[in-house]
Amino acid sequence: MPGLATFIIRRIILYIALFFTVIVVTFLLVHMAPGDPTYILAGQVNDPEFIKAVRHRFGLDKPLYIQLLIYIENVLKGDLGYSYFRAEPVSTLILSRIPATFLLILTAMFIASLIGITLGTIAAYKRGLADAVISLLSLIGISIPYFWLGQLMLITFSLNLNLFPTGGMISLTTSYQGIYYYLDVLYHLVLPATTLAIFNMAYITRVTRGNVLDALSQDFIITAKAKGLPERRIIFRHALRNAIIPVITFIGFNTGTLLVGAIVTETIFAWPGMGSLLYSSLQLRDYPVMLGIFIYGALIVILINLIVDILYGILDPRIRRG
Amino acid sequence: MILLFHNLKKIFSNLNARLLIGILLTGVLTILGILAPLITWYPPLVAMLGPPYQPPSFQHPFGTDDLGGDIYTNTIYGIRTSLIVGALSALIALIIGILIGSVAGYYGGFLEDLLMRITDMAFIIPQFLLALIIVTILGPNIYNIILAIGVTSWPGIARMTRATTLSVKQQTFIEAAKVLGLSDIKIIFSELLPNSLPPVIPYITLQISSNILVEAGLGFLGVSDPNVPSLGMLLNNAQQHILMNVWWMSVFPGVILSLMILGFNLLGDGLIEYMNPRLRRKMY
Amino acid sequence: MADELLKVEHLKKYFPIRKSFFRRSLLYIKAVDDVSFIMRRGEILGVVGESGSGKTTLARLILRLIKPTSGTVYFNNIDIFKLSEKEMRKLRPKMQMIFQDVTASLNPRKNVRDILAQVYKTYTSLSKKEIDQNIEKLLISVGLTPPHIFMNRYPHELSGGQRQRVNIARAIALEPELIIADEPTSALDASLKRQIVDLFKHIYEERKGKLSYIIISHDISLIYSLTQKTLVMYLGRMVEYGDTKKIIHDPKHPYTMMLISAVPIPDPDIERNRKIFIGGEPITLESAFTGCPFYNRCPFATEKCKKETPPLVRLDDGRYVACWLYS
Repeated sequence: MPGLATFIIRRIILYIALFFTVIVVTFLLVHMAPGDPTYILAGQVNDPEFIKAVRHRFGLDKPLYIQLLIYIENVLKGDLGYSYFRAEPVSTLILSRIPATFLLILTAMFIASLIGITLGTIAAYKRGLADAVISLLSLIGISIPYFWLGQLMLITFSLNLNLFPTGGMISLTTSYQGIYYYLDVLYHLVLPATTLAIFNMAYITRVTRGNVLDALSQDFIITAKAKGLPERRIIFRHALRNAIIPVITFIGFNTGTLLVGAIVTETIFAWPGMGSLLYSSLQLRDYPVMLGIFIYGALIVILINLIVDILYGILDPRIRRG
Repeated sequence: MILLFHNLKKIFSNLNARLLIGILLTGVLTILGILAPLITWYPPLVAMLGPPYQPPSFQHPFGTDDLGGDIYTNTIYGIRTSLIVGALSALIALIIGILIGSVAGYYGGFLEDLLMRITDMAFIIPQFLLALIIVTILGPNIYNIILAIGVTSWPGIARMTRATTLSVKQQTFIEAAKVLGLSDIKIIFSELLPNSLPPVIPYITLQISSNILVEAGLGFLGVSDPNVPSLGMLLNNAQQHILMNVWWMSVFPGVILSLMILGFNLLGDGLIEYMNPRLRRKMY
Repeated sequence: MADELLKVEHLKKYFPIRKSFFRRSLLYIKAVDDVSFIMRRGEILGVVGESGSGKTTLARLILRLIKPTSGTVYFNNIDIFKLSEKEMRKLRPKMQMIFQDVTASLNPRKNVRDILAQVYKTYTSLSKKEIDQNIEKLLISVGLTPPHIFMNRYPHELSGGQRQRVNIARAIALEPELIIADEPTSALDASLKRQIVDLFKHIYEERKGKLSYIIISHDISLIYSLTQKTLVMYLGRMVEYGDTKKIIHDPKHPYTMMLISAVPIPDPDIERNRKIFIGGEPITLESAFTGCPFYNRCPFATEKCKKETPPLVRLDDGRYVACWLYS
């Protein structure tokens, strides 16, 4: 499998280069700020002691290129600065929030993929009324801003129908143990995950529909039908297998959009993940946390793209052959 | 005269539902935006025009917000903002994108590889986050917002332009231009672009729709120009007071925003189908 | 020396075939393999051969649209491959091409006026009015009258013959010294063919020896009626070169004989002496092969033909042939 190995190595090198670019870009942005970059690296803080410490840590008295090197070194060590407002290192802060965000993203991705692929396939295969309805719904689905959708869901299902909690990950009033804890989390997960899922579901439906339509019109399907194979087998065996590859890669790339979506959705439902952190940092002008989230966000997206690329390489026989 | 009729017939033959509805929606909303001062009776972004938290009434068709401002006025003016930001940022993305895409497609070789790799990488970086950081650092005014969104949305257009450039490049009239001794720049701008750009136009429309969403998203997080009415800002407002169950603060701006995005999406899809009737079975 | 317009010396263009396992390519397609000839000012040269014989590649090399693997091209005694891009651009107005694909050579988004105006705008500083006047004269001279109707037309509004005339107009606009026409009549029907050939003749005669043509075609009758000298190519190699009438009346190389035999020539003397051949499939000429490229289709082929490449030798009547029958 020499082709696959070279492919993966080249991708890794590319992504490392990308990550470096992200760091450099962040650095440049910090210094493009009107006024003293110190405030960006420290946050809008009034404590002179803290400012002095930040200046020292990031070497702000030294020439620019040395600052860049220090910055890169810090980032690679995991040191993204210190949040004055929360009295914690930025990295620790963000890392503690990642699991909650991931829970949200993975749940939403799972739901969206499941329903999206199913609906897309049905639409492509059945055509007619089902196709029309599904296509229309998916078009509306990608046009509705997901944050507004979240608001609506909150208003409808939570405030007015009292079916779901208005926010947070766990109930504040009672504290559950064991399985009830997980159920509680799940209960709080429903609205935000559904909000996030609907938007992506619409995209996945459209992409799947397009790909299955393409696959179905290919000659080998007509051959299979001519051979007299039962219809269900045709769909699953032949068409789906070929259509699924671009859909999977799409889902992988879409995780970047999902990440952004999750961040915004969290602010609606006060879900304690990276998103809420970002929002509160915005309001507090806690810049180092914001920059940290950007870098971590980029890193996550890069990693996911890398995994998807590798999966793609394994699945696509053309790459294996080199 | 016959020529005119023939051309009109050609335009009409490929029309489809999406395109028409798209034109309708975007057209109506644009007109509303342009006519904003004429169809509203209060100035935008002004507080205490009425008692706060009022549900819709004749005086205030969309209700009032937490400060007693008129939501209807702010929404209509918000349409303007969304359209201007969406269009201008798309213009910036267009300029950057077609430059990179055309150069990459025309010259090929190492340059093309390099530019396309850069484009792919830029594509991966979460656009919204980067735009957010840029605006936060540079300051939340409308120019920075337009710049930030424009500068982060070019990769899609670059890719498309390169693809169309590649297909046009093979045509003989490009070679003929070389034989005539036209310089490369002249060839790119005078011969290549007029042919490679039209297929990209639908994607520009879709980019506008995406940019409108980003602008609203930024506004939703509170990152907007305080002097400019924005639909995202309205939704942010709604979010902050959501526990008061003031549904009108959320529903009306949201519906308008959705219609705008839907309109441009339909327009883009419709244009794609209009230009490529062969793909009709793919679109519905 | 002074009236040598074009001198092609041992021109070679090899295209590598790359296989996925090997990094370096061991195999080449020899598109143009050692072509040499001299064209004098005012001469009309025909280049004949099947598709794949390298005719179009040769044209591209002469115009410096591609770079050769080895060999040189001298235009007015200037080595064109030693020039910089800028210097070459100054030379370009003197050497123009009429391409094979009549429709694709015209920018679909420009009307005839814009297409032709572009030429003047690039090389002259005439005013819009002057350019328009020039274009009108140009259109009249290629037979597109009344000119103001055609100026506003777009390529898709023109017939095939009219498009070809626009191509011709564009080529002569700057009064070049050399025009290469690649299959100028292939896309046209019989009557249009005649008209275009007449147009070529008319343009040539009008310029009294200052204009030269290279006509690339697989159409023997076109070559016969228009050219003075002919170069016959097979798989990139020159197989016969010399006076057109002599070559067509009395072909020496077996390949030329095969080409001529397929064309009915309205001359009973030639018809009587024709030998009919059955064609075969040309081999893929790869770098490993040495020998005459025509050997597998040649009725006179010997073992020697398979192993050794015949050189180009000069016959008594002034033409050149590359065949073991004559050396």
